[in-house]
Amino acid sequence: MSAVTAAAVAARDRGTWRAGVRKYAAIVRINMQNSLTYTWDAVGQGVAVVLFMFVFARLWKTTFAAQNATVIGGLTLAQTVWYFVWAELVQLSKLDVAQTIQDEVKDGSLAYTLGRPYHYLLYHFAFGLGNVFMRMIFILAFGAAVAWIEVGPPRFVRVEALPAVLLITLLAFVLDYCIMAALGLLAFFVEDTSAFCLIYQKINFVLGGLLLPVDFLPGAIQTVARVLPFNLVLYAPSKLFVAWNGTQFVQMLGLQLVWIGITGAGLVALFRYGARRVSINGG
Amino acid sequence: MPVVSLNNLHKTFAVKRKTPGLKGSLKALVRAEYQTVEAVKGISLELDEGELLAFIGPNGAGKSTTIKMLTGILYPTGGEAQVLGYIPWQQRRQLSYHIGSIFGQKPQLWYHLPPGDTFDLFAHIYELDRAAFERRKAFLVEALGIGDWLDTPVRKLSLGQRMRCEIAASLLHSPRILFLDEPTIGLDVVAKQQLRAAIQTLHDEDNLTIFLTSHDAGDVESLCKRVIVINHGQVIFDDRTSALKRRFLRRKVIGVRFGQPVPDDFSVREATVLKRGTWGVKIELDTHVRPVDDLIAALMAYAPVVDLTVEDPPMEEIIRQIYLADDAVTVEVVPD
Repeated sequence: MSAVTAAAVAARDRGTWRAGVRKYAAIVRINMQNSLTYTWDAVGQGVAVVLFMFVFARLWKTTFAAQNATVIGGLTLAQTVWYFVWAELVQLSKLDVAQTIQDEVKDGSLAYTLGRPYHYLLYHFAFGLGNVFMRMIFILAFGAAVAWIEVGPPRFVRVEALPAVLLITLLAFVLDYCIMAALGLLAFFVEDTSAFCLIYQKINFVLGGLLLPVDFLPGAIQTVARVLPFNLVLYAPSKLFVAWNGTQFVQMLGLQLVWIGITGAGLVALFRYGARRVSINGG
Repeated sequence: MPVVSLNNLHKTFAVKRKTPGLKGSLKALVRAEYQTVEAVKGISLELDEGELLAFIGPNGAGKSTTIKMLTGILYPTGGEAQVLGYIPWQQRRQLSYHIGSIFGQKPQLWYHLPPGDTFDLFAHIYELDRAAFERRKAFLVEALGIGDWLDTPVRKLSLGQRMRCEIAASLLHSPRILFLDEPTIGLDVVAKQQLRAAIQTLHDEDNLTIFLTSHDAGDVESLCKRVIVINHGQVIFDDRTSALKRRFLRRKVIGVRFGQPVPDDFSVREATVLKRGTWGVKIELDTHVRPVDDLIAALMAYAPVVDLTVEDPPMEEIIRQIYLADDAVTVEVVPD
């Protein structure tokens, strides 16, 4: 075989959005394949969810019983428990990129990704997405099993609204990614970004709806929490999952898009600034 | 028309400094001190299409920093560079479709997956026509002899096998220039030879321009017609490899292990015995005084030989010799 006939040729649609989609889809796909190697890690995470969900279910059963209430903050006991199934699903499946990006900034390996024909930030998003599906399967299976046993099936879930819930969940991943990746890129300025990540995690606990649904927060705090981006990562998809509301969906979708625009622009600016400051030790 | 041209390229890094101990740490906390390190100090060179250039120097000389600027992943502090008409750090994405790179310390193959999966991924990343990609893959698999490992997870491959697969991955999109940064690092003698043979084959069959950095003089001797030596970020030698060999790779160190004990008064004609053990000796030889094959023949005639190695002088030694021989320097040199 001669070298001439063996030369690679660009696809006819190189440079188009279709070729771009195929490129990032291939990154998602290969990392899905790769994540099969870590199936037992995903199973382990699923088992951890059993513990979380058991504690949440018992806690809220006790709370509802103590208040002798059937509804708190607009949610029944069953809705509240299933809310946490979805919230844990998002929390434990989302693309945890801050540490990876921080490490790449610090050891300079970020630079190697820059030398390929893809965008660093889109690459990491696609890469992270490849990990999500395997984790989601086990977390949902284990979490749902506990909730089912404790409070029964989620009869209130509107099957026809599930595509919209999944859209809000996907956008929640995008929004969280913009924030987490930006926190990772702060490594250009500070030695360790873990403190910022810890603060973000704790804010998500309280204002994001992981510890309790935003509807349960006191009035003023609830008003503030609803316009901040944090509730759009965990609360928004979880609330729509258990209590579908078309008007709320449109509001949440709009807010998500606004915050993705704001945090995405900040992330890109941070990345452009940082790419010029890349230095690599050794060599 | 050169495919690579550098003009007075500079790169400085700000490196954080801290005196030892708790006091130093506290001081650095209040006021961090930075030292400017000049990794590349005004390098100029040109490379023609189809050339196989060795860019060598000791650790910390600035080889990798230069290659990273040429591939667009580092911004220079000063100077100009063009690769295939592109300014690497400004047109990184466009350039990446036309160059390949291998960084010995940064694998690109997916560790838990077979190389074939990474190849498929790269076909999408470089947006290649599927049929042309399959033909190209078949060509590289044959040229590099990697057919048996395509379906084996990378983690199960030896370092040498992995490196050949890395080279295939870098060439799938038919780049015009291949940047090889320390490709033989960590390889044993046999794997090094196999890899060098593969690089030579691809260069010959693909008319590939290769920019190879290494701190191994053996890579240079066996592969490249032209060599550039850099030290402290400056070019100190730019000439044909034959000139480097003639003038600075004359000395060889031959290690031999015999099948019988070595007598105390062991000596060899026109060579120096550096070290003598019970079963073996280490001999230094100037190849202009006595050819290597002549000495090896004499050693084999002397007693049964169990093991034998021929080593080049370390890169530091070559650099030292270049500095010592003022007339040998073919470019302006300003030693630190």
